[in-house]
Amino acid sequence: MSSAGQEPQRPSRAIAFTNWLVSRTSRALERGTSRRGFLIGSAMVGTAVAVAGVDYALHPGSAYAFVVPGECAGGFCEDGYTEFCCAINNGINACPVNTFAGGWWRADSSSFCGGGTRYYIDCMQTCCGPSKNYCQNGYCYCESCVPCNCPGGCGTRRVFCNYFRYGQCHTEIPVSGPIACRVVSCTPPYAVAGNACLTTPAVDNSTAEHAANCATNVDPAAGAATISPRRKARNVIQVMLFGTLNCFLVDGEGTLLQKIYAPGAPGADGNGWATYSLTPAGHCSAGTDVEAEDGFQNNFHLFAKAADGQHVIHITYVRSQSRWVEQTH
Amino acid sequence: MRHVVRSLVLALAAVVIIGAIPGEAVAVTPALLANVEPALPSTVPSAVAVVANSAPVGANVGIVARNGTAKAVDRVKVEATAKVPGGGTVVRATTVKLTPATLAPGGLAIGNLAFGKADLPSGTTFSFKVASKKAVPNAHDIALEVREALLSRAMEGPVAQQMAVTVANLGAKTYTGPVTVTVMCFGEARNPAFVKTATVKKAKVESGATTPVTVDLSLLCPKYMVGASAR
Repeated sequence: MSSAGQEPQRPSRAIAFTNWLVSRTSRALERGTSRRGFLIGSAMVGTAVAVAGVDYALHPGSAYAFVVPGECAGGFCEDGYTEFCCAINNGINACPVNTFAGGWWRADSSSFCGGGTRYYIDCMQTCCGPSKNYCQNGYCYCESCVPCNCPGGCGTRRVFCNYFRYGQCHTEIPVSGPIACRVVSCTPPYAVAGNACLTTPAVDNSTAEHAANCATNVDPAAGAATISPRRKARNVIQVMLFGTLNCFLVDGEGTLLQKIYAPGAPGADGNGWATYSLTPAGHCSAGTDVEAEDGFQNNFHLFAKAADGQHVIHITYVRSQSRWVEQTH
Repeated sequence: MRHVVRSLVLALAAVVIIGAIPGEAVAVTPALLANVEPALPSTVPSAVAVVANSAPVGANVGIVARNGTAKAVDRVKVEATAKVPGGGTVVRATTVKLTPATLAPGGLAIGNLAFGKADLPSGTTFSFKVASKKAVPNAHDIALEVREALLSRAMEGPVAQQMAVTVANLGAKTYTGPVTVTVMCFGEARNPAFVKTATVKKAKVESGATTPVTVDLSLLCPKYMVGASAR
């Protein structure tokens, strides 16, 4: 983005290949069509190839399988919001490759989170096209390398269309493409290190009951969790959670702490560790050991001696809700 | 040929002159400043009507009203009824004032409706009744308009973002009194998300001059419409 003093990144290999494919396919069509027909046809094929990739080129069906906002009489394609990531990311509720968490908002009173707060993260496309010469809210944009479209027709929301950024995540990235898709969770995005989000809130309560056009509505990314607790010190447990290194320990104030290795993330210290409290101070016995267990009811569990010495503080990471729950036994 | 050209020149001169002749005095109708084209119904209403509203944030609902008549209007009053899903609970609210107070034909105004103290749940539905009066131009009318709005980056703490606003006095006389700035913030779909107001208790703004106002936003507001009002 020239106005922010940063050049757009070169297109990725996949994008370069897609551009080549569009060019070759369009040229092949040009030979057998009128000039007017070519202009219309190539635009549609360009859209279809860029979205569907090789599959459309090798198995040509109807180029009209993909629609763009404005072509539908109604439906989610026209409601202005971006589609859930699981719809374009093999069912996975996570930012796809070549995108990053660019901001988040909350929607209160959502039945998907038990009547509580639901959180959305906007996955911005990594800058890959020319500058759009447009900045807003302190961030600038480049053109998308994927055409704006509604991937499943008029009944699905748009992807790669909205140039909009709340901007509380990955603040170190000043330029991006449009929003590719959105991730949904009942856990605040700033509590997940890989998102690199600030706690600064944004709200759009009209999205509280948005349903995904795939099975995933609030679950964390399927298969992304890799748990292998290892004791690193007498009272420190090390765990890989969603591909991020975590350490758990009880400090001298009796607080069970989660330390996430996320260099550069807001709140991270000089060594790259961001620290979050999983319990209030005084709930655990100061400096006590932490035990970890994974798998019971498909959740991740932490145990520490309670401050009274008689009970156990049991912290559960509920995967289906992406949140921590504290119990005393 | 020369005759034709002369006729054209005369006709053109007449149009220019007629266009320059001041007609009947019209109400000063300050516009909203925006960095978004809000998602509104494609058809303009035939009266003054609420054309968009936010989902509730707590007990507050932001509204966008549009003047669908051919005349400028003022003293716009919106009465709203909220129906809570399931329980049949009905809550009512009335706007104190819309911004701007005077709407040109086709013009938009923004405002906030406070439905008591209890939070409204998601799924609450709203109905609106709008009343207005034809604006009568008056040389003493006060008209404040936002000329510039600058947003800070996201901040941590009680203030999520600050908007530095420059308010201009479009009226013919110096204005002394409180200045209220109303900001409507929009989500990615260009739908209203919430409304925030800030008031400078006493300002003195000469005719044609400007005054700065800072709005502390507790929530991020990348897309907005903003306007100013007096008293």
